[in-house]
Amino acid sequence: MSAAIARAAAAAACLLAAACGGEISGAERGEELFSSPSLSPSELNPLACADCHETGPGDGPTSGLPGYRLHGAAARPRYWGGDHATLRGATDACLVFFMKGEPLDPEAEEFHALYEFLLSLTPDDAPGEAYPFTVVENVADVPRGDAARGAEVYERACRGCHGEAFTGGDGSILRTPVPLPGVTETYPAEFPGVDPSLVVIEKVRHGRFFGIGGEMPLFSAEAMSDEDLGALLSYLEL
Amino acid sequence: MSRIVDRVRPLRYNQPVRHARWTWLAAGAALAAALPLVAGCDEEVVFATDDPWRSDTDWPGIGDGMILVTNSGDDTLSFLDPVTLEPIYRSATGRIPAEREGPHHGAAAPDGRHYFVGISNYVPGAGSGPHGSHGNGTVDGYLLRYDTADNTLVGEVRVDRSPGDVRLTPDGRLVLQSHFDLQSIIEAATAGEDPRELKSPLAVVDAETMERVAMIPVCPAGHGIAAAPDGSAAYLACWGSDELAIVSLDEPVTSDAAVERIPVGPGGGDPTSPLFGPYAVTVSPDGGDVWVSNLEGTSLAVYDVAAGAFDPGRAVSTAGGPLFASFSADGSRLYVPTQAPDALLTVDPATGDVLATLSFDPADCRAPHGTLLLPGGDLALVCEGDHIAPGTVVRIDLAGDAPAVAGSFEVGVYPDDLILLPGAG
Repeated sequence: MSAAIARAAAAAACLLAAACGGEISGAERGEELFSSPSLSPSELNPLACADCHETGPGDGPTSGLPGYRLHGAAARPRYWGGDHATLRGATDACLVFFMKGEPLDPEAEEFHALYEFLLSLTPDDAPGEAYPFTVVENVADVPRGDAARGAEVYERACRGCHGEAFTGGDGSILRTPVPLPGVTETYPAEFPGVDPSLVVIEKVRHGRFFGIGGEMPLFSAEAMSDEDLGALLSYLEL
Repeated sequence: MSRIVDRVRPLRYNQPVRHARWTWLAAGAALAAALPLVAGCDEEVVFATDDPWRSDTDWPGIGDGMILVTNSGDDTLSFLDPVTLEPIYRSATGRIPAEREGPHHGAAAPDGRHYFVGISNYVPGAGSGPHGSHGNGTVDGYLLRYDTADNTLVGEVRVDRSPGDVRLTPDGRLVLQSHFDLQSIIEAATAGEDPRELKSPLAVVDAETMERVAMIPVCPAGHGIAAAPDGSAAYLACWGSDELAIVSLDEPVTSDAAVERIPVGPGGGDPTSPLFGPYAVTVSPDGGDVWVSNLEGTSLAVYDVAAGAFDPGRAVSTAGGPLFASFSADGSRLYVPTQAPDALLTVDPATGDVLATLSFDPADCRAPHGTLLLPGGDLALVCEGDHIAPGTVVRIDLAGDAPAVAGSFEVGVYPDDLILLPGAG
């Protein structure tokens, strides 16, 4: 054991000992759960809430991730563009559709903790307004844009799951890597006669829905504009 | 404030944690080494709230009752005042956020505690892409169950593709759901098979457990359902075979329940081109007659239950295609909506005479689809609209010499059914 690891072990033991018999707030426990795939009972689930949601304040519903920011979330009257009227319903949707889980048990301590974490993100003066969530139902090609901007879009929106562009390495959290744009090489066989870029657009706009499958979340028009999508496609050389 | 002692669960803490507490993760190996030192250590989680996940819902509750409208074109439900029909509330429906799922018809439990909505997964023009248009009846549908206490989805069951009408047995114990599966007719015809052999099922679902009790094969593209007042049978309009089906609901209800199919008229029977196209059925309050709305044949046929045969003497020829009709409370009048021309017919069921025809201004009602007798004595009529802009629900005053429009209210896109949610007490 190296000296550095020994020091870390000692520090960890001290911290745990200090915590033993101590207290942790529900919000603190909830933050840990928020950041861990273990919120879902499925061992096949690679995703944590934090992979798709920001927690800090900011302009608009998101700065690039598919999930909307959770700052102030508990004060919103509706979620998912109105598909869910309660925070619990919206959370259940994430668990069921993207995390291979089940609707939460409101009596379970871990979900009590998650609720308190979300509550802690909602200041008293948070506006009680729902964010718009526009599903692009009818997919069409988009004008290509600036590749440099597309690289930024990729970093914000795609890299967390798909890893480094063109290689798929360095940080993909998926159990089965889905490198971009490499995966599109399979599309001509899977979707004969369809431009692979249109398949990518379909995935971005519909995620796992509309019969597409997988666990990928969809990007609403607010989460990713057509302009950003066009830039992303340019960056990916699609 | 509650205090709940929670044991530290090493497995959970050994699982990866991202974005937060990276410093802890950086010492992951050290942490793992240290965990045995504190095995059995309790950590107290102190909660600040006693009522987690409570939401300040704006759901007003159904009070003394409401009218529910299924808006199949925009995946919403409209809730209306049961007397005036003024809209009170609107909510989304469906299993899946984002997708258009086509809520198609509904039913309410007699005690008002639950309601049921069919999910057809067929919404013309919704979605596109390399996988083709979403939901053109090629995927299975669902039956959803909602709790009226908080208007939340509390149960679901998968059924076959293109579910159609949804009705309850009079005792509220079973939900009946037909399947208007035109896609199978197309596929059979294309494959050179005989579509007359198709038997889209009547799903029978336990209203409490939401388990499928039976899937009874009936006929090609069955649609409108009505239960006999004594609950002994379900009547089903068989669009594709030009028949009325009588499905036995004798207990125990099983998938091999007896089914009798009776042609609604001479000729017909080709599912690719029905002559009559029975689409809806309405049972008289005494259970003696079953009125069949022939959408394609623009006519009404009446089945005399006691005689076990259709009564051609009371058949009605209609200018437009008839849909879901309603009887007056005393059974002396039958109110029949028709499309193209859009009208409401008042029929004397004893004779088959059309006593009055109320034509609609498109601003009030375009494409009337279903009717419902309101607790206050008026009639409600749901109008599809143009399937792009919101449709309407119209209140018809029945107190005068002839039915008259008393009010028209916007609901969602392509509304196709309206039901009474009785007050839950």
